[in-house]
Amino acid sequence: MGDKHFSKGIRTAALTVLSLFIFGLTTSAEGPYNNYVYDPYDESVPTQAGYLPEKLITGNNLGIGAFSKPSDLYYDNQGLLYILDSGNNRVVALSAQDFSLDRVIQPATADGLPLTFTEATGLCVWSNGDIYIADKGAKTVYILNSEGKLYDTLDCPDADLLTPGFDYKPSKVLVDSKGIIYVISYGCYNGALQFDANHEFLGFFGSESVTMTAELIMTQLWSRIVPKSMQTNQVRAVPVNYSNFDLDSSDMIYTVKNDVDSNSGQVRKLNYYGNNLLYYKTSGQVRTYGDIETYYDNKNGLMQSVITDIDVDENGFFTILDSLRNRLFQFDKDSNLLFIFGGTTSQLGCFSEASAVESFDGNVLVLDSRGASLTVLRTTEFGSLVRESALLISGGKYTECADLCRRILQYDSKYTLANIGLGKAYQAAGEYKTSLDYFYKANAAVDYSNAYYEYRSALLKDSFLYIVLGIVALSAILAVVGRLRHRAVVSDYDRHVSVGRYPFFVMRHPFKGHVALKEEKRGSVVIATIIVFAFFIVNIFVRQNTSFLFGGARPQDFNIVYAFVSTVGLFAVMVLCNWALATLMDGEGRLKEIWVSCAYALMPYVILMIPLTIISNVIVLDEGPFFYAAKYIIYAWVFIGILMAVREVHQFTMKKTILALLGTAFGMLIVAALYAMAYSMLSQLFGFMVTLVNEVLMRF
Amino acid sequence: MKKGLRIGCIALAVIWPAVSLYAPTAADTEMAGTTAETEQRTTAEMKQITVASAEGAYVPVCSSSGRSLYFNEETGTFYVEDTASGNRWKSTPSYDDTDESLKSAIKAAYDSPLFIKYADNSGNIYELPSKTASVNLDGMSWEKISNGVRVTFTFPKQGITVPVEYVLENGNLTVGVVLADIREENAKCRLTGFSLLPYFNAGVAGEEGFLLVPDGSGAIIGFNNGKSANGSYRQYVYGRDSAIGMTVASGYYENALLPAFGSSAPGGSCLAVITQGASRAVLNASVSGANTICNTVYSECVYRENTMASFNDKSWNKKEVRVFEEDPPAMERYAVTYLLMDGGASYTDMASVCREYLLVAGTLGSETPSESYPLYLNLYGSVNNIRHILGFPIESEIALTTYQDAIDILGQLEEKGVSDLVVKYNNWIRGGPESSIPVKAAASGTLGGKSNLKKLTAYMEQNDIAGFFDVNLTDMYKSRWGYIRTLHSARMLNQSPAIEYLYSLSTLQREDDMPNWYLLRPDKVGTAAQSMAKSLADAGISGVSADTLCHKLYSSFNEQGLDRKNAETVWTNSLKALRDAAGKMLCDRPNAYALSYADCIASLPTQSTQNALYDADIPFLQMVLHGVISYSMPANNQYADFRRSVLTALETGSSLQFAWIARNAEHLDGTQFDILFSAEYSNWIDDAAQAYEEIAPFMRTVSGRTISNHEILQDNVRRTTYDNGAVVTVNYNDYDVVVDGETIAAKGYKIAGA
Repeated sequence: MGDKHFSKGIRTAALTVLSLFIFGLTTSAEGPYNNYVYDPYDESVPTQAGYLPEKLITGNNLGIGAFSKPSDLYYDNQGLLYILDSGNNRVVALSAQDFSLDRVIQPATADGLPLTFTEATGLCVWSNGDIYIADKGAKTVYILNSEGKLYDTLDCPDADLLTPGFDYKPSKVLVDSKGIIYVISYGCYNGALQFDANHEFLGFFGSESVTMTAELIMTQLWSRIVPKSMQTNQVRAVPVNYSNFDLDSSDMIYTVKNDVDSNSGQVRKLNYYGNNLLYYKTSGQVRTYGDIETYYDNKNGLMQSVITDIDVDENGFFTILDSLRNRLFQFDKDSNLLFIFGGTTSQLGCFSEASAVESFDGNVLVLDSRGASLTVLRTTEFGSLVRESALLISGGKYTECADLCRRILQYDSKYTLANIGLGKAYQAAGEYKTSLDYFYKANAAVDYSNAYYEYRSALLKDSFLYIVLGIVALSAILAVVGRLRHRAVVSDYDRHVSVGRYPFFVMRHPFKGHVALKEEKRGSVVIATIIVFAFFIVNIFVRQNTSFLFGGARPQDFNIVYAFVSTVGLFAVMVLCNWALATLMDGEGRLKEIWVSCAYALMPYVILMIPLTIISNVIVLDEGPFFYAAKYIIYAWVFIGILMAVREVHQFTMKKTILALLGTAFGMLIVAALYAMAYSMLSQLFGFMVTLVNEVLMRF
Repeated sequence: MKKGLRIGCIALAVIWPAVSLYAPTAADTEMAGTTAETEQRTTAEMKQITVASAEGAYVPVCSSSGRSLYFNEETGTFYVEDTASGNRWKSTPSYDDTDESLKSAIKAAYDSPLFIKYADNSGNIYELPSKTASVNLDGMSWEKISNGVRVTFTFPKQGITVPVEYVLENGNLTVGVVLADIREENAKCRLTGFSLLPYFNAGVAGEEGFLLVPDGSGAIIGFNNGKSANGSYRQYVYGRDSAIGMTVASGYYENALLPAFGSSAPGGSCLAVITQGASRAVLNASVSGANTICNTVYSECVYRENTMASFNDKSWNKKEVRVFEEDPPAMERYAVTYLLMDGGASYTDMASVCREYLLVAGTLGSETPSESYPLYLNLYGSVNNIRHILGFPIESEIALTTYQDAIDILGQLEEKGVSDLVVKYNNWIRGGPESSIPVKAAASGTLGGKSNLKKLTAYMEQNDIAGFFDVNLTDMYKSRWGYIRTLHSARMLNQSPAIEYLYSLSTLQREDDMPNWYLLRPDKVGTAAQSMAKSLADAGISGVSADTLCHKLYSSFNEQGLDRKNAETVWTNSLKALRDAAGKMLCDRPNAYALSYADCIASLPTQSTQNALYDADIPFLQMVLHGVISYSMPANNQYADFRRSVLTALETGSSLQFAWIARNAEHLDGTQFDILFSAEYSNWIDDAAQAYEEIAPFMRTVSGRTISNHEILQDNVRRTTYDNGAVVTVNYNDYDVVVDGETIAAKGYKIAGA
């Protein structure tokens, strides 16, 4: 349990930080923790508090003596909240209304002797009042009646039903509405154990099959070659084990897993057959449920969320517990992240070792096993607005949610869900243009595309007549002009094409054009250089103006230096490498010729990418294949151009040309490696100088 | 996780139990386990002597205003007795000497009016109580001084001598240490701090009462509240020194703005004010629990600031070393005055005692504000962000609220009937907020230039609007001649420049790709303030604020005359110079030293840091300040529940405040001002006017009045009473409540007597 170990380290560290009262900047007006959420680009941004701590409940406050290592929490949906106070061998029932004490249940054996837990970690109370307690240490699940008297246990099932070496360590237990019992055995990779209402073992549930990824196949091949001792840090070929689960109102099981290999898809919603029904945006897509931003710690490795509990409330909102930082993340039933709250300090609303979470009626309850307390958090006005509108949006009631969304945007003008909600409301009202703005803000590609489709249809319908007339007029003009020009060209086919227009000729006739370029010396270095710079400019245009539906990068992340290096720089390196290589391969081309020919080969990109980029802004996602096809045709065109350029410039055979191109690519890689080395050496030198200067300055 | 922190943690984990033996409150006391054990053994040997010391050993020393000071020659402890009421305020709590559940070390701690902390050669810090380490080793001597006694505690093994004076004047007790008289004779042991009266007027198990801590608006901790598992309270007065570097950020916090704390027990209460050396004080509090029967709050003086610093050794491995302030503080005296009150005083009583004391001491100006209830505006002029011009990323100053926008906003508010306004204008100086130290009040061209700024100040003048223009004289984002980042910055303890960073919301790690800023050396801050003061009048500015001087106080370590106490003097001189030049001053969340220069206060916190140990947040600051000075709460449009924030204004007697911008909200992304995500004024102006209109009539009737009572009636139902009989009862709950037979609607309030 390496992860557990490091998470403790962090916790202690964070606690120390608070106890020293060393603080950062004030981030918001309320709450003891950073109120933030991940924006559509997966970056953390501040927002309003969705939940704020209301009160702290301790055993002393309830008058029953301090809790000791309370390990699990269960809300029975009938007004009672149960706390498994394992250190004190008891179960405490609270009223879910005002969190006052209902009763203390002292578990006892059938003979009336007190029942002592070894390591009780799981609690469930069925609708008839029966209490189920999973005791990992005692390797059994106790079934008690509502008075706490033991009447049955769920022990390890018969060995012939299990894999050899199976170690039964029940850590969590659930009972669905039909009385089927699910037990998570710690460290078991086969899913949850399933028992029927008569406590007979049925088999394993939700056993997750290993997805065959390319990486996994590689690993398996590799494992045949490499000795066992070297096979560390490889993709695991067994399904992960569940760390916790919860039932929703329709007996769907939500599971969380401790997947250290990947940071995504940790939450699943399983139907009776064990199929995952939870996805994000599109079917089958998973998301990161914990913190998306991570960092690498020298000692503890990658610091990513460790999800240890989940709770689904009556409306399908689910809340997960990240024990790395004692944070809670709440999602709506479509996996949209709504709120993040909690933390590791000694403040109210933060925890030293949060062990369980329950949620109902706009409350979230968190049990802190080390702090021996239960914290009640309540939704704020902002929080309830968001939850309400999430319900309306997933229910398709867009018009009804418009006002709520406007109010949310007043509280946080960037809140994604509200932007989507308003976008949908405007779309439903037929105000497509407005809806597009909101979808754009929310970076909601699919919604934007759909709204844009309707917007475009409406626009086309309105101006259909003009468009038809326009097309007719345009084609008439083109026909006339084309006829005139065609006649001229036909009459003088081999007419001398001027130097200025020659690039266009090369573009249209890559084979013939490049031959003539070499033989008749029709190229111009000036024009070639202009083309290379045009390539740079067009590249910027494409980057900044491609519709965000087609993977356009964020305009604000633009860096001109990078753009220059990746166009002009790359081209220059390619020409240089090619020239250097060609001299070795007896190529005839001189540097100037290579520069000119290759630059002319860029013409299709320079000419055609601009209209394609413009077109990307008037098409929708469904028409994407046309866009991509056009793009790849342009790329192929450029590639053929360069192929021809190299062949003709050096007078190579085709085979030699391909070899030369491969060699050029290899040469470019070497240049890149050299550059990286030089860069790191220079930056170290620079760092050294800075340190030196600082040292000298500090003497004064 | 930085290594230093981890080592700190491990050390902490190891020593935690040891610490709790002596001072269960000291959360960051580092102490090696072995030493603690030796001390414990010594204590056990001395137990016979401890038992022998009976109460009979107390002798009367002096009396004043019907109260007498009794001193114990054997232990150096004392008590004050009120002759009329018989109330006793004791330095040592009553405990059963035969109680086996109490460790002998704890009993020795109870008998100690002084704890010292010292560091050995290897940088370990130990805490020692005077009883075991001084008194029992014959290290104590005493003499009578006027109105009290002077007790000299010598810790022979450590060679440290600390003289403590107990003085009874006007019926109040002042405990002080003259710092120049402290002796350190053993080069191996350096004094790092001392705690005065760690158990003075402590509540013991079974007693009813509470502790008051000045965290944010103030908070109370009930005696024996059963939350000892939630840790203890420890807070630096005026916040942590910003020149102490930090590696990881925490979330939200409030500062201790007032150096005051209190305890209320049935047999006598007190409110303590740190009158000298508050800028070097730390407050501690803890409740009874497994190890102790006491509930106590006390102050500690930081004698030598210290922190862990990492160095690269010869083989470039990171090494952690504890680094110290070399010289002891240049201040004369560290003194705490305990204002004694008979019986179990309420926190309202404490507030009024505190207010009177501060008025007499001159910490608060005595001008009563006119009967008005202004609306506070906090406008943000510009922001520095990258702008993409033709694809080129260009660092630019981007307008959020131009001078003309400000005029428009004020005009619109006036149209809606809000004309009593206090306006603070941030980021209005040329260059934007992330710029060099401003040495003159230069108008920003982006915001409309000099002519528009003149227009704005003229508009404010005409319409009788109090306008305050904020200047940031401490944070160097860029260098300018005379204010160069690396040359003129304050120094951290390891002698590197003091830099402040932004921290990731999610990972809490430093954001290296975000702007950082160097802290200007305290003496240079003074220079900048003088030069700024000169140019204010030329710019036509008649009100000024200096946020960072109000709530950021830092040293430049190991430089002559630049410790935190000196910095405080520079700060107050600068504030005075600015105020004198402009005419009036607004202070934002001011530390106590800034209070006497404040004409009004913005963003006075209405909650505490919300330590789980607390039982309730109370508007202690507000109870001290209401009727003396006008103040607002933090910006209402930054709360997750606007309605509740209006109720908070009613409960705490605060003005409403709005933090607004007029345009370009999308350019806030990726800057430190991204917290203004709810600041577009057009979204809020109607709500603002409506809320103001709703509560202003009542608030006007109580402005200039002091708060005479504040009660927590039930969960989330609170009542504030003013000295003219006006009462407001607010209900923060989502449901109706019945108070005194009257129903108060959900998220509503009731006004009476106004």
